[in-house]
Amino acid sequence: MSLRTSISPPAVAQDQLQDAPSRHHMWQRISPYIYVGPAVIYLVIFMIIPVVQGVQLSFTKTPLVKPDGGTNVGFDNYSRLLGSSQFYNSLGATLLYTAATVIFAVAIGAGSALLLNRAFKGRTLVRAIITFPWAVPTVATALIFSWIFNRSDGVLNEVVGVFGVGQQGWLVDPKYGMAAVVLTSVWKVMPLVMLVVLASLQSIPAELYEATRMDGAGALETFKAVTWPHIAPTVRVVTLLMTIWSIRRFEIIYLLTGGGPVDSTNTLVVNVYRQAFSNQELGRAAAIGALGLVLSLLVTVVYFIIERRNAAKEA
Amino acid sequence: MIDRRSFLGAAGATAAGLFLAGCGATPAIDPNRAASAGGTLKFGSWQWLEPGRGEAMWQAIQAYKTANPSAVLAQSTTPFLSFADKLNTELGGKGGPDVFVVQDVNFYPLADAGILAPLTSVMDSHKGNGFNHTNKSGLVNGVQYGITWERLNWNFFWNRKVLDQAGVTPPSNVDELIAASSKIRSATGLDGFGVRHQMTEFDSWFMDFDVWTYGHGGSWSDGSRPTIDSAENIAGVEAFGKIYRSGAMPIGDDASTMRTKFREGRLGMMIDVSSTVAGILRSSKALTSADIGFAERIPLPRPSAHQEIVLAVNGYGKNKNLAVDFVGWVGSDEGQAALRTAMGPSTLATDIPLAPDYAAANPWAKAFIDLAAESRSPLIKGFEPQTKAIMREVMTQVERYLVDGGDAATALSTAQTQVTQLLG
Repeated sequence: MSLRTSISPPAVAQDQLQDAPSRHHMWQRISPYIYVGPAVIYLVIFMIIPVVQGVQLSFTKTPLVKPDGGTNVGFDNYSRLLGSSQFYNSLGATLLYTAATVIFAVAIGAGSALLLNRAFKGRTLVRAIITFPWAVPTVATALIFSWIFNRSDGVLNEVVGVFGVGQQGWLVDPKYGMAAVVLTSVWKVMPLVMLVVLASLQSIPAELYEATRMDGAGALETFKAVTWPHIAPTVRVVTLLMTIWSIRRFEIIYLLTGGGPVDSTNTLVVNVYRQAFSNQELGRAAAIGALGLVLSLLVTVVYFIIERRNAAKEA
Repeated sequence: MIDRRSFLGAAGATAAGLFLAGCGATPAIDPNRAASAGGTLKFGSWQWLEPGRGEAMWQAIQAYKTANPSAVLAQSTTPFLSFADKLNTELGGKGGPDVFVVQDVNFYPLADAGILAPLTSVMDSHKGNGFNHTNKSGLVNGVQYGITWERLNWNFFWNRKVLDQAGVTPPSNVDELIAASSKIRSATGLDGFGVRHQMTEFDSWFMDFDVWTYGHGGSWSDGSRPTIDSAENIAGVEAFGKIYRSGAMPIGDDASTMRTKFREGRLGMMIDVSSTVAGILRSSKALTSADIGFAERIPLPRPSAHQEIVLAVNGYGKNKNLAVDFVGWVGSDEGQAALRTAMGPSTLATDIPLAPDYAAANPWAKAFIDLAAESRSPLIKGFEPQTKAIMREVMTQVERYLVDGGDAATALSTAQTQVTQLLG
């Protein structure tokens, strides 16, 4: 047996050689669907189907204790909602809560990130302390703040008392109820804004700051020319996320005020809970939920319009 | 790189495995099996979490195992604030505990929806002491769906030591109550009077609040239409408003905080239910039964309110006959005797009296029980399933009146309009 014979490749059938490129080609065609498939299945089962069912439910009168015993009422739930002052009160509370929480959380979070981007002694410890609220469970946050805001024994009234302000009912007076839930929410969510913006700041090349320094630019010019253009996309995304999360936020508001005092914090989500579990009207609750979804989608559409305009400007 | 044959083979093996696993699942229990066949009975209640009393009640019902040795009782518990929501959701999903207790405002919609098991056999086969009038709360659409687990009556009580220290005599009307509270605060620095007053505790507050409107002879309906803005209701709201604005109450304290303060001797007077007093005494180092002063009735012109807790059987339960048998045992002389000691001064399903030694040691207890003869249900006549939805509208306007000012008549007139819209 010659060496050539002993090391010659195994005989391969001519049809197998022809099959190899087409199998590879088929795999290339179907493999993206296989990788994406589980995520799509998850989204369809746990998000799209429930949303479709929720919208279907909104056209029925369905008691909580008999969810399969609903009767079709057409647009009755929607017409009742849109004709009720309580719905507009909820909508107004939602918009106010969202706007206030987002503005303060983004402003304080981004500002903290800018400060923490500089090197100083103890920076790591300060970062850890500022991040702490994000790690505290939401229910624990609500319980702690309910004590801070307590009229007779709360720390906040002790502090404002030093400045001559009398005892205030932070959670029982409609003048302050919204401020109390906004303050608690901002305390809880601001660290996430800070972390995201800080990560974006740290990706800015140092040479750009050097270049502006050499050009004699001041802090404000440097911020406008270098910092803001780099972090703006990140700030826009985090603002969008904060907005959608604020529209959906339930635990802090419900645990602190239950939607009161005098419905001043009765946001759409709290109202959904009330309709579903207190009034046991699943259909009406689903209708409020559907309208809340429209609000979230509107916000998202506005965001994409702004992004498209910015992209067109840059191009 | 995975080839198609291997991929399909793995997928097929996974599917076969899941199928076989399903085949090996525990077979379902026949829901119509006899009670004597025994089994596990899941009993749902928030009360298992009550310090001291919960454990006592649980131990009391273990006596059922003497009547039916093949039965095993298992607890299903959720804190009070979320108990009703969780129970309704479970029952809506055709699940939930086999037997449970629930407040009558939550019991009625369940019975009305036809998802509870009828207890006709319990009523027909009952022997011994007869069921008392409180069991009418379990009668819905002519069918008995529940029996009384306990009826808790509201009454007015105080800490004798605090009143003595302040030099105050127990008040007999609203104006005297306000005056007494102010004197307690000025003389001792302690809070004078406490009662629920916030929408964050809506699920309990609206029943507490009936004390004031019922106490002035008011009703929320006449059986066929809402009567939210009746003169009597307005009087009740105004009376409560007077106390709220007088500085007599620690505004912002929830019921748990006020009960803690009373237990620690830092609150002079309360209006609350009998189980509150029992719970306070069980856990207080500062108070004994002799320190509890009590009125024969709340210092208002007319009879007051009660909170009824009903024992019912889940119509979707896996062991319905056993559950019904257990309810029958609870209503029997043996069951009532077992519960009497654990329940303390609550009115039970039969008129079984307090144990003599307990009554002697707790003279305030009988006053609470006797109030059951006249006390009124929070269910709104003619609109029972919508009671909570109606009271949400009412209490929102009451809260607005308390916090923002204005007059009670306007507040209740607004509530009347909104309730009328709600009912369509």
